[in-house]
Amino acid sequence: MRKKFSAIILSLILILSFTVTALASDMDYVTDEAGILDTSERNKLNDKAKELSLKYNCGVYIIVLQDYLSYLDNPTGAVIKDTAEKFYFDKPMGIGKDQSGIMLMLSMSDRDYILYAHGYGNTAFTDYGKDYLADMFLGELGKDNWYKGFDIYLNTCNKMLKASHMGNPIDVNNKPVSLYVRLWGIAACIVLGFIAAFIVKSILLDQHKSVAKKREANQYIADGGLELTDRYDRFTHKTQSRVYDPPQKNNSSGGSGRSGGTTVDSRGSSSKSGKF
Amino acid sequence: MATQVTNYKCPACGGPLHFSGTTGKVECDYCGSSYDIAEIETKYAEKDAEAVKAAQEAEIKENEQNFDEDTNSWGDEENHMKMYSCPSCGAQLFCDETTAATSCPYCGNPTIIPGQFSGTKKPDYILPFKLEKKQAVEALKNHYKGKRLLPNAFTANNHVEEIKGVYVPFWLFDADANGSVTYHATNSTVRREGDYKVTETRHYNVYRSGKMNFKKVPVDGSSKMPDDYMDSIEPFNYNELKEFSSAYLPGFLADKYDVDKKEAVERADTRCRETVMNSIKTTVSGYGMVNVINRNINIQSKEVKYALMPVWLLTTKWNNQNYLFAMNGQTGKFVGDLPIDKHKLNRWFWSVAVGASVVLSLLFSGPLGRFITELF
Repeated sequence: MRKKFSAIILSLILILSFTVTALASDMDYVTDEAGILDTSERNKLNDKAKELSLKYNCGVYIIVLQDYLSYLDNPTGAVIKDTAEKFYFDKPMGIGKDQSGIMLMLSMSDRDYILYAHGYGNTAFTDYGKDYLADMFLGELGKDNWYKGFDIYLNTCNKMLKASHMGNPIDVNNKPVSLYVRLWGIAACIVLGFIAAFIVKSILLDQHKSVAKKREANQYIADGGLELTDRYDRFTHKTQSRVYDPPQKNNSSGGSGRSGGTTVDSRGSSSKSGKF
Repeated sequence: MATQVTNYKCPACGGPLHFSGTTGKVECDYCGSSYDIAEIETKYAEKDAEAVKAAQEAEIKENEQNFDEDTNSWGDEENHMKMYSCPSCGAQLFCDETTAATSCPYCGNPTIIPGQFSGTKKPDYILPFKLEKKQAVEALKNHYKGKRLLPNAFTANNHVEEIKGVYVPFWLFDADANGSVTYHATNSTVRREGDYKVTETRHYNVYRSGKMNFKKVPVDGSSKMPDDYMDSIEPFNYNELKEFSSAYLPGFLADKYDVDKKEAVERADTRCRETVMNSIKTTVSGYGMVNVINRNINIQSKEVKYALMPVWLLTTKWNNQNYLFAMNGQTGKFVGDLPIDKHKLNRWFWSVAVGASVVLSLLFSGPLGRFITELF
């Protein structure tokens, strides 16, 4: 009897875990209720989001709504975060028991957006990381380049999830290096390499030169050396220059300030919102 | 007939003599007999005096005579060559007018022309050779070591074309120097006042005057010797200077000066002036920036001595180019510019450029890169 009961419980657990995985596999990662994407674009984005989600065990979602307020029972005083929370937990979204995931929600009527993270999503997408992620796609969304903006969002999520998987999530102490900086860095390394080569060349050439006229007669100074007969050091005047040089502003963002990390709310989620 | 030259021959067997720096004696090349300097001086004093007299007579005769057709015409070089007769074999020796010691190319006997070092032309000192010819050749091999750009063929096919020990004439100047220098010096501090960076500079008028003495500043008195080579083999150890004796000359070449002390003193003054300026400058400290605004350096020449210094000169030939090397015959200091293999130089250059670029790029992509991007 006991054995039968254990077998039933085990089966139920297995069924549930497969169900969750099945749900994760089958659900839409891209929802476009405002109709800003065509079918082909939506499918491409969905496939990409699904691939990322399964690869890193962290759901990556895009939700486009016409008006976030219409999804709430009590819209008075509500903000986009309320709709994002409702979507995330009611559907439910996220992968695994932690419901790990990152969601980008757009509300087209007022052009509000929110990045909403939960579970492992809080680790991979820190406060600084969400700022960085938003900076990457907001430019295209601001120009109504929807597909391009969402594609950039997914590519950047891939990069950030990869970094987090390596143990170095993007944060204030692990800022991503832009291509521009990388190229300048490589150019600087090449220049430094050539400088090193010139220095080595000078040293090697110097070894071959041992003949030079002498400019001084230091070796023939009679005993006693220089005898000072008079000396003075007189202060004459003072000059001053003033240059306008305001101190640089602090670049760190949000609640994490300079120390990095992720600020989570009472539901264990973190978010960043704004206008696109 | 008295000749103007003297052959220094071994009293025992008549073989050629040479001065040995190792033993400090004059030795015979054939029988190995050795003689003190004083012995040789005494033996050849009379012959040297006769040679000086013969030289003086010859000079008078030369001034009275015209050259006949039998004498070789050297064109413009005629005035700078002298002709002597070797007292051993009678061969005609053609030498530069400044040559004071040589060897007869026919019989090999060391030949001294005492007239070049007589009277007012007599050197005050001589610094005898301490190092032998084989040590000079050894020093040349050591000079090649560690030179990564040296063409392989240079050392493989290298042979010394010519090696000669030469007593080079030098003027040794004593001088008293005094000088005064005025400087403009500043110190700056930087502080912040709100949004402004304020730089405050304090200005000073700095004055120094002093004196120093110099002893035996050398300037070579031969226009044939490259000045930079002679400077480069300094210093000589003056503690081993000897009173001049022609007994030190056999086996070596020697020239009398052809740059007199009035011409040479300017070079000594320049070097002394530079030393005085540098010495005074070291007494000015504690400032961020120091500039000279006025200087007044006086050099007063005191005693001037004429000395012969030992130098080994070696020439090699490679790729149709002559390479000259010089070694201080007393201390062994060896100098001489070496050829460069351009292919080796390029290989080194590009290896370091590419290698360093790759290493730096790898470091930049790692923790170092993160650190640098954090800074900027």
